[in-house]
Amino acid sequence: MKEIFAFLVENPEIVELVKKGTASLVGVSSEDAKAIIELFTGDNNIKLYGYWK
Amino acid sequence: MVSIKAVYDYIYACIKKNLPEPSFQQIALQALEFNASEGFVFSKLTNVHYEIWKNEDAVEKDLFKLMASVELTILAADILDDLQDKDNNTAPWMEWNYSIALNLVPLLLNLSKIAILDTSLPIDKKVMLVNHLLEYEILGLRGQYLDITKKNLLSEEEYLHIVEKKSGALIALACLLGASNASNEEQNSIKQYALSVGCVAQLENDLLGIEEQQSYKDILQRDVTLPTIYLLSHNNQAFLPLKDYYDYKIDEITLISYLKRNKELLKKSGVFEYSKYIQYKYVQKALLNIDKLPIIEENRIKLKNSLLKR
Repeated sequence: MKEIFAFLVENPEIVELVKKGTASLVGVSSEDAKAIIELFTGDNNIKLYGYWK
Repeated sequence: MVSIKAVYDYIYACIKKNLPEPSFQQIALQALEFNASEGFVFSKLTNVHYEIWKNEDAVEKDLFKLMASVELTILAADILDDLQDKDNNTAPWMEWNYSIALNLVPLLLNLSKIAILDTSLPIDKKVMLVNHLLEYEILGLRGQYLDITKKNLLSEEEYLHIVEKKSGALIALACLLGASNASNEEQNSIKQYALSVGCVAQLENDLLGIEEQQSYKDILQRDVTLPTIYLLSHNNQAFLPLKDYYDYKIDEITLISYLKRNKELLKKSGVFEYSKYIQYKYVQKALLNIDKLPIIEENRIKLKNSLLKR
């Protein structure tokens, strides 16, 4: 999974292709792929943070 | 909801009563002031859980004592963590004599038990709550031990297990002290989501620890966190100086200079996106356990908002 992140951050055009559905992330579920793309594109509505320190 | 002032006043009175030595009392009250200034966030969770699981036998007037018990435990854990990590210059105990500060830790943990024994709850309920306290204090201390003895070669899985113990235990404690009327099955779900929320929170802290605004704090201390594990395992040659620093081959000044010359290095590593993805997985896990609970929808939303929503 780390390799996927390292790859996507260096190849942002792939993020766009996955978002459009013309490419996919091998070995990643569609739900996780959606979350990953949202993290890269910054348009995620996932509530990631707690209050806790 | 119980007012924060009621919790503060109870802890204040508890310290006054149990610590007659003026100088000892003074530092304990100073610690309380500092803790209160951070908003008593943990005991708010106790309050929310209490409201959701209260029954007709619930003794409303005891709730602030349960909340005080949680905050006393959190304060003890904060002091211990800061003394061991030496990374919080804003806390008053970092300016005290080390031995005196250390002496306050077991004392606060004992006061947290006194607060529970001081409630008018039935004896079996008190025993159950003290057992919760002991179980999660021990879990937290085990996590703390593993955290301070962890080695550079730690795997991501091993690190996340430590975080569950260290950070999750305190949140589990705060939730379970409020949910004493929940069934065993419900308490198990509560424990599971609390441990996940603890991980979400710790990973947020971990991300701050590698940012330039915090002077690359965790990196310079050669701390092992999820982001540093990611960076140290990165294949790109650009991360070699970071590995060299962790292997004591280059010094702090050389590394800082390198990071400042290559400001985009961390940003372009994927470490922020990856850490947030792991946080996302823990959020999903927590939501799954919250959804398992046989509670009304209004309370489920209340739980989610108190635990996870920014």
